Amino acid sequence: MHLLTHGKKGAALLCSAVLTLSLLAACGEAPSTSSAAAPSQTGASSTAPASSSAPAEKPAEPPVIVLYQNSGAGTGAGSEAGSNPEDLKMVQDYILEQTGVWLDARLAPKEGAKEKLTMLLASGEQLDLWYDNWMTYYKNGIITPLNDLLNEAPAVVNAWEPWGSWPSMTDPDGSIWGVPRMTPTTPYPVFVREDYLQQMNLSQPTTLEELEDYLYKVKALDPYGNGQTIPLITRGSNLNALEFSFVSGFVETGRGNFLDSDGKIKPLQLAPGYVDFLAKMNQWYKDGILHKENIGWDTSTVRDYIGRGAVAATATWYSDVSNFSETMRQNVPGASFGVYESGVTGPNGQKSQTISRGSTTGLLLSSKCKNPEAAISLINWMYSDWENYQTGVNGLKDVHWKYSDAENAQQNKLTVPIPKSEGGTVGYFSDCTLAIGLPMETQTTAYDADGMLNMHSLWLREHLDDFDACYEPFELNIFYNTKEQEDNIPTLGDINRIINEELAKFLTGDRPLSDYDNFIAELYGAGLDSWIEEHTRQYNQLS
Amino acid sequence: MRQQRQPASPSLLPAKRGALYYLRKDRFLYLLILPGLLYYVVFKYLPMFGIVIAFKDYQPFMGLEGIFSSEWVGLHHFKRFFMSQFSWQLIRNTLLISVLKLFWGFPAPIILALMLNEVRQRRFKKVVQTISYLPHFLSTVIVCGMIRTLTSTDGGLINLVLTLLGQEPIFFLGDTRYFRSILVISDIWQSVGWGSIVYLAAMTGIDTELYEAAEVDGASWLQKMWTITLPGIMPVVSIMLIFRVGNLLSGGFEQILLLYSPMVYSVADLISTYVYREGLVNMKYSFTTAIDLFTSLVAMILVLGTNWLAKKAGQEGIW
Repeated sequence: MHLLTHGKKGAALLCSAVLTLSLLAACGEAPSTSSAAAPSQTGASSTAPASSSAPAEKPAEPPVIVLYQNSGAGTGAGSEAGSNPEDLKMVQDYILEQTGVWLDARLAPKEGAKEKLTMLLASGEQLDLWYDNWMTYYKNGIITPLNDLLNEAPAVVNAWEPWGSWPSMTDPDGSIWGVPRMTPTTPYPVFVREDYLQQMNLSQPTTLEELEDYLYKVKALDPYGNGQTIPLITRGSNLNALEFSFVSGFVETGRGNFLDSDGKIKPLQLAPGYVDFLAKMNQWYKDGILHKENIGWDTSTVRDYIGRGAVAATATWYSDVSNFSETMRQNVPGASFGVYESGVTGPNGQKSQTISRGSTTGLLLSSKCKNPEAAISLINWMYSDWENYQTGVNGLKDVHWKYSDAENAQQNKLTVPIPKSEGGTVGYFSDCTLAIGLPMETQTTAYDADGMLNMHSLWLREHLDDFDACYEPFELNIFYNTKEQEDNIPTLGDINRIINEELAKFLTGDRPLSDYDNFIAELYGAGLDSWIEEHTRQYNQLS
Repeated sequence: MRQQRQPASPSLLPAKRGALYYLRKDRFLYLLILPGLLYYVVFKYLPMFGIVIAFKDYQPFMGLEGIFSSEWVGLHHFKRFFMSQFSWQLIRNTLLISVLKLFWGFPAPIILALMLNEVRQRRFKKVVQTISYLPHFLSTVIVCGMIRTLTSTDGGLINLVLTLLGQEPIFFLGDTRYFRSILVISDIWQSVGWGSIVYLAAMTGIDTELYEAAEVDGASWLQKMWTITLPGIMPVVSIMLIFRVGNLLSGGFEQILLLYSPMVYSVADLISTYVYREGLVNMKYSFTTAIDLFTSLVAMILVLGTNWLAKKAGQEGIW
């Protein structure tokens, strides 16, 4: 029996052929080094320099450096969807003109940035620069040491030298594995709303007791309305931010490991006073000082609440506040977070905030980079002049930003964004920046569109090294090798997980504090002895 | 009277033909299945070779070449997983959440289909079907957003009701007592309507004469449902059960990833969410491949077991 007529048979065969061909085409896609370079991918037009589709017009294609912009820069209000492609291209064109290198910047998503980085690294696509902990990569040959390249980058070396950050990027053999981005700082201050303080005739809290008084009063007053005022907000997922902001007011050795009387390095959770800190946090949680859902929130949610103006005090990374204070003021006119230089003192008489040490996170260069010289020259260009840095962060001068009208504005680097009403554009959000970190950031003084001193700029210039307002931990300059920890502590993942999960339960009251000794026993059961042994070994070696 | 067919004499039987003969004879049909075959070979079977990294120390940056060149470590990653005190918790959570979803979620579309089959008002039936199908077309992200909003302590509907009743608001998604229930209920809500389609289709295949005969015998609607409809769709039910058991160890990865937090890891962290975190966040590709291989092995045993049980019970198996 003929199932199909000839016409139908032909159509079916054609469909089958098309499906087969598309299937084969789908699995035959070549690694897209050229697509990474193609300006069309970044929203650029055909006039862009590295278009693979027009080799005849541009015979000498410039080197292309692909940057995965996961530094966290460009998180200001309005940046959620990334830069406007036209604005981004303007900046890329300018950088090309200045350096001869096309910077293909790919902004990391707000959430899941690490997952995307892993996928990019595994995919075989061109990826030259990204921000991360060098210890994760250096032993596998994924990143390249910068020692020789840095000889051609004096601006980078000189910028970081006074900040003492190179040791954190250097292995024991002297190889430098990245450009730093951190120095010891004080990034977890307790910011308190000045307008609320005025409303309640209170002054900036100087002790934990005064802070607590303010938090409970603000809870009762509910100035944001409908019971939605959040007296204190912290970063979600774990207790890290709360620990940095408060624990040294309870624990004499501050936030971090401690050197016990037996000469061994032990984790914070074993330190005397830590349970008291937990008890206080648990009390605050029960009493509604901390929002019930706070531990489950991602960073965007925390920033969103701050921007809405619903938060009365913060114990979170400073830029969650400083970058969103302008949005908050737009939503709640008159709202402002005060900066209290002296910090808050805890029940033990110590400053409650612990200094955050410099880190091993920096700008890393792939060992597969075809033009490492171009990459380092690009970075050097951004460090060589403050306006170059400013281009990477805020865009083009006189397009995206300008010097303020104040006296000596150029000399003092006083800038303001150019509003749309003056022909400016606000469509660029730091995609191309390669110079994140205090050496360049602290030079800027930015004013917002309302002519008010930008809180972020003020904080960076004047308060990020308020060390007198903080407790200094003993291991400030010790950088444990995380790769060796992973290798030598087989149950490191279990230990970290128990700590994170159980502390969250103690905070919420899911687990009573009377069970704390059992928690410590669980840690030992999971291999805490080998944790202590490995940390002590590394500490003795490094100190 | 129909004549009985006589066996042909050996000399009249067609000569044995080779595979090439049949390939050529049915070339049109073979060409039609070519895209499907290629799809399975290219995207399902060839990548299976990558499983070998479960026994190697593979780093994601090594690319395809690294699959061959990375160091052989044998069962190291399997041992590491089973040495972890969380391995049992992960397996328990995965099985428990899946079994809960199976226990409550599998009969739900069957019951809905049976009920819809009894509805005589066509307009009402269509309205119910449309309303129950709709959630299926919402993406998991939207559904999870709705759950978050509904259960929020910041003006969420459920907590508003609780507050009106004089109760304290509850952070449902951060409470180990409620998290699994929320997963199961939302999963049923989203899938019950769509899942009932296949059973309704199976019911249309039941011979209507059986119902007429039962009516003549004075059977009630409940008796007809019990003795005709249910046995009539039982082959489909058993096949759907085998398919469902095959997915038992996936447990609803997306839904949990979007809803959980460290506060409820102890009851919500699945093998698949753990693999996601360790693989994509911590870049342990070999370790997570080993865990996934173990999961696949268990899933295969479960499918084979269910298939065997279905056949033992006189139902259709999948082969």
